[in-house]
Amino acid sequence: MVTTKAIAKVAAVATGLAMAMSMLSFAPMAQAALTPSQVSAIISLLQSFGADASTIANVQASLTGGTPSTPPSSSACSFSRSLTIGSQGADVTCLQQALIAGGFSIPAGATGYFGTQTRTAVASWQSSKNIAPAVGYFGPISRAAFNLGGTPGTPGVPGVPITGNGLKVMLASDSPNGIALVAGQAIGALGKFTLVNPTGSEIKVTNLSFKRIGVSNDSTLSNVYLYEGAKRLTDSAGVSNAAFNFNDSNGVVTVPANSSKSVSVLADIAASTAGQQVGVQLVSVASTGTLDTSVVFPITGGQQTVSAATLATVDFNTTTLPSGTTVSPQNDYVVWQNTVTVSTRAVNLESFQLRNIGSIKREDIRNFRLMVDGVQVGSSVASIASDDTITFDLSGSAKRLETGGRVIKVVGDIVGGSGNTFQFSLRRASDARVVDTDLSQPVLATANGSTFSARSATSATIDSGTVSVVKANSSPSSNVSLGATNVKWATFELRAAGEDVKVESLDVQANTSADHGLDNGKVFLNGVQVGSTKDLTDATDVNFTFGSSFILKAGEVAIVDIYADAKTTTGAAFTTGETAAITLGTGSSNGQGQSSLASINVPTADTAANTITVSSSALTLTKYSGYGNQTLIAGASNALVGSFTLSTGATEGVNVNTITIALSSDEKATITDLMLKDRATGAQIGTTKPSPTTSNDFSTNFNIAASGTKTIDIYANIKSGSNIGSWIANADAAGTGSSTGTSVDADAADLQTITVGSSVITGAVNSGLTPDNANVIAGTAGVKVGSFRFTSQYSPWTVQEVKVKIPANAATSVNAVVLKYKDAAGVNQTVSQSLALSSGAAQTHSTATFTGLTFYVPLNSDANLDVYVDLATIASGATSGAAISVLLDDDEGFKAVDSSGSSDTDIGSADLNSAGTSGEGTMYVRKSLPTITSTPVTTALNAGAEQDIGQFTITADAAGDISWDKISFTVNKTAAVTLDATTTVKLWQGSNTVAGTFGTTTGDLVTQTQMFTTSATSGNIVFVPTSEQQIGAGQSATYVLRTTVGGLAAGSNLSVSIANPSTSITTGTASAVGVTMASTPSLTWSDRSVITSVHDTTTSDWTNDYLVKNLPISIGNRSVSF
Amino acid sequence: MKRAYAIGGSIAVVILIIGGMWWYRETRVPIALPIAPEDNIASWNFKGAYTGNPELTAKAGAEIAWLKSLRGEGTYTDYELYVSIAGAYQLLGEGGKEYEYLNRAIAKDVGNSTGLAWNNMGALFERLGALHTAREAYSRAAAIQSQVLQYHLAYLSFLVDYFPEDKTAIDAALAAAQKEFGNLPDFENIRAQSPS
Repeated sequence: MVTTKAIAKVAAVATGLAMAMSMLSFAPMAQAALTPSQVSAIISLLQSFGADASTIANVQASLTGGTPSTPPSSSACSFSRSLTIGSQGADVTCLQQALIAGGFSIPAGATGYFGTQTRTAVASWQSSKNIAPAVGYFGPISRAAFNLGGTPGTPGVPGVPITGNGLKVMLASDSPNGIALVAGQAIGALGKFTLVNPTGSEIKVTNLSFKRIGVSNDSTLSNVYLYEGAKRLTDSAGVSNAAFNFNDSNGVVTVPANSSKSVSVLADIAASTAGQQVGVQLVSVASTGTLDTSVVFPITGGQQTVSAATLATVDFNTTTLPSGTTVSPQNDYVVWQNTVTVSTRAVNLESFQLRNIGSIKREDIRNFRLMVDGVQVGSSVASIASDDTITFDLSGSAKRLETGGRVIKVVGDIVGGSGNTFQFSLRRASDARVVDTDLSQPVLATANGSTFSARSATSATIDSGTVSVVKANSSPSSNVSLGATNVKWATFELRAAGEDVKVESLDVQANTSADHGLDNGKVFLNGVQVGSTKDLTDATDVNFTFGSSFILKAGEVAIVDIYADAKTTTGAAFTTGETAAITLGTGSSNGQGQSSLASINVPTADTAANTITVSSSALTLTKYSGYGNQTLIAGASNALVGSFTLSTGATEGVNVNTITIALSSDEKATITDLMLKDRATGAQIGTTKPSPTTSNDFSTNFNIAASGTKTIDIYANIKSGSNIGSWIANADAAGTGSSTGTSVDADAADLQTITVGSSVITGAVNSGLTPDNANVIAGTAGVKVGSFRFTSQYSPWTVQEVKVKIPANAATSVNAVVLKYKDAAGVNQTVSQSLALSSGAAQTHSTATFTGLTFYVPLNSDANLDVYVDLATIASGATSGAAISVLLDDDEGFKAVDSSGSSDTDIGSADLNSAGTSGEGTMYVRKSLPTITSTPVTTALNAGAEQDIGQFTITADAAGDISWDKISFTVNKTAAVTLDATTTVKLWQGSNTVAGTFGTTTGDLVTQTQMFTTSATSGNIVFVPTSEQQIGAGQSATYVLRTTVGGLAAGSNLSVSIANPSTSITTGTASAVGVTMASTPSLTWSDRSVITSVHDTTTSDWTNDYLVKNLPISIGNRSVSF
Repeated sequence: MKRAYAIGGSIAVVILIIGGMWWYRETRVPIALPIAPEDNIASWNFKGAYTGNPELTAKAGAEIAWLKSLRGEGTYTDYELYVSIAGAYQLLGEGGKEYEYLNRAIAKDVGNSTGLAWNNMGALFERLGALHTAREAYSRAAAIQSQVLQYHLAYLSFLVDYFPEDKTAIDAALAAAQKEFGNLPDFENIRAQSPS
């Protein structure tokens, strides 16, 4: 809140002040209206609000009676005194306004009072101008730098449009001011001026008139020059009555359109002038253009002070090289050299300029390099400038010349000028800008200990032209393909120097290892054939004549290529491994200088190219090993009928342009839509042949790199009904060498043997996945009965229709038949169908007919069709004991289709029966199931009555009650052990005995006192209850077998189990199943599923021990301890 | 007379209350197995064995009516009748009704000792594509009545067919089956169908 209030207050005050300021701005008060303290208070308040300086200045001016105005340009200021703290007046105001306009902050504005703020601003400005010390004292140096009466110059900024209506002239921002010069030095900096051309045309400045200023004499400046950077623009000008000027009707300096240049006035400072002050003032400029209206002369530079000091000395030697009067055209020729003696201290060579005073053209000598003591310094100079000078500007990286003798030389490449002269000369001492390393001022060089005079080499005449011939670095060296045509064998570089040279002929010699020569030799000059084509006879100079078509331009490198076929002169093929080398033979007056007309030998000596080996090319076609012989079906679409690999040799890559697939008449009649595809990418190659012929050419355009391979597949549609046995494509390919362009042809090859035949689908019971026989509870859904494996050959197949058969007597126990399989996408599919009683005349089976299936059998693979049944409950009609197996009808209701659309309606010669393998594929329906478990009696065997010899439990499934009516025990015993049979053997259920009769398998009743003979070691004892024993759904009954045991001895053993002797199901009445002592079942039981009558042993829902869970089972194992 | 009306009215109210309770008990369908959150059943109807066959459809309808009439009659347990009715709806391709009656059957299995309805519920949801729900149903059948071979075979086959990558579950199902029945060849043959 406080902040908000404060802001509100400030805003109110500011608003009021703004209003006041506005009023003040438009209604200046009389100066006497406010006291200085009042004005100061207002100004302080404005400053606290952050008002900009110009606003404050205007307000202050208004308050103090001044006139608000735009800041004056510095040129409007006139400084007749130095300004510092405490100074007041219009000059201070003007300075302040100029500083503010220049971006130097004076928070109080242009008050006319030179205070601390103004001093700080002045100090900042001085720093920006490199004025030292930058302490804020506005003295003579600063006043000069501020361009008294002139405009501080700003060179044009690249990219920024230069405005104005004519040539602008201004003092350069880096014009020297107050620097200390040294009496006797060379080219002391007096002033620097910037010329700006805002127009669209270049302006030649033809006159620049200057005036010496400062406490000095005309003689103080012994030589005055105008420089542009390191380059001297003018000869020295004399100073007379303080005036000097530079004139050149062609332009002392030319300022390009929309550009700028800066020129410096440099002068040698006479000795014994220490204490003087000297500067320059530009008083007028004449040019081919008009001056901008803003330009006001004179433009005065700063004044420099001349001091006394001992400078280093630099003395050029009397002798300047070279001294020869003629010189052949050549590279790296020393055009000027002198030994310079440096004394007192080291100097820095900052620039070096020579002038050619010979007759050569400026481009005749090129590539000048400055060397000091044998080492190049600075950058090369490409050619002689339009003023005939070459200037090395080392200002960016001056070369330090230590005291002593230093060899300075300039070398260049003489490329032209035959018959003309050149002579390079150091014209002025100042052309060698050598700066004292201590005093940082240029040293006035001397010559031979005296006043400098020009140091010139001897004038030399350039001899007639020469031609150098060398093997090019790019001259071929790689192997050449056998039989290749138009092969480049050699590349030479020819360079004329001194003058253009016409080469009238060349001798070309081919040296081959087998002395065959080369066929069809050609000479190419810069890529164009010159002369005629000739065979290159082995080891013999073959002269190619060119007329006037072979002119070498002086100083330019010409490329000469020698081509020929990689064949003998008779056109015969080479043998792999042979070599050839090209040599340009020594010429004999076969060249002529185009200026001198002198004869020249081209080349002057035999010049050999590389020896090249001829090797066989290499496009090889082979049958692709990754694709073997195939059997494909008639009618197959887009069948892969062949595959081959193209390989190239190491010599070069090959552009394959033709592939030919050859077929016999029968073969071509078998297919349509023949096409090629890149095996790696699948991209088609060439165009499809809808109706193939015996020779099918495919135009191709692909490259195989050297030592590369590409495998190509051949596809076609195989016509339906085709059956011609073997089908073999023959492939061929041709192309051209990637480098040589020579034709290459692969040897044709027969590809894979394709046997055109019919696809096959076969079916069989999948024994491994067909479940073992089992009892299943009625009402269970999804009971797997059989699994059938279908196998395809030569084509994928889709089984669309199947007829499933189930024995008719089991049909009422099945609600539906369910098929499970995978479709072509691998997705599990489940379909169901009801049964109909209609299979065969005898109607032995019920059938479920499936149509619209999508059962997919992959190519040359197999897939499973699993058959399930949903069982009916007993309530819904299932019959206990129904034996459910499934069959696939082999010749009815079956349909499968291959990839060509051909169908098969016959699985095989017989139905596929899930129960075909014993013990598999039949499910027996039960309303409920018994499970027998036991915790065997294992206590020590004791003699006596009521001995437990076995214990077991029968559990009825929760689905329903069960009954049992016979149980048989298998007894194993030690021979001496006796088991009472007549009276004491009992089957107990809890505390009650189960009423019934025991017997053995040898008789219906136990008539003897012992179950078995004493000597017997095993036997069965059978119990048949008086009435069926019922166990409720989900309930259990536990029984204990007891008898009297005797005859024990140490080690006696008695074990009892319930066996599982039935190997097949029997269903019927109890008697039919077996309740006699001699009958097989170990357990006769019923699921009590019959409801049409009261259940008893006569109902037909009884069955045997087959598939009863946990049978056989041990129920007792007792021993007598030793 | 007045008193008789009062008594009669009271009896009527009691009858209504008891009837309502009976009706509620009879018609309420407890959900034994909710749909797994991962599953989305687009349609409860599918192509049953009788679908599209008017004669068989009528036969199934009559069967359902007859089975319903037997409830409480004693010849068959309600559990068996409900499973039977569910089976009839399966033939008709009415998954929703099949689910309802399988739930009713399970509700009748007080001790939760019977796997039949669970197994059939697994088959139903497998057909509906609700694989996570089917998995749970098959799993419960095999767990509740581990002594029934068919339930183990169904669960193991289902896992191999639809969750072949869940080796942990397959191995656990295999181990449970082998614990009860020993190392039957059928178990190994089914196990071999899943990726090793």
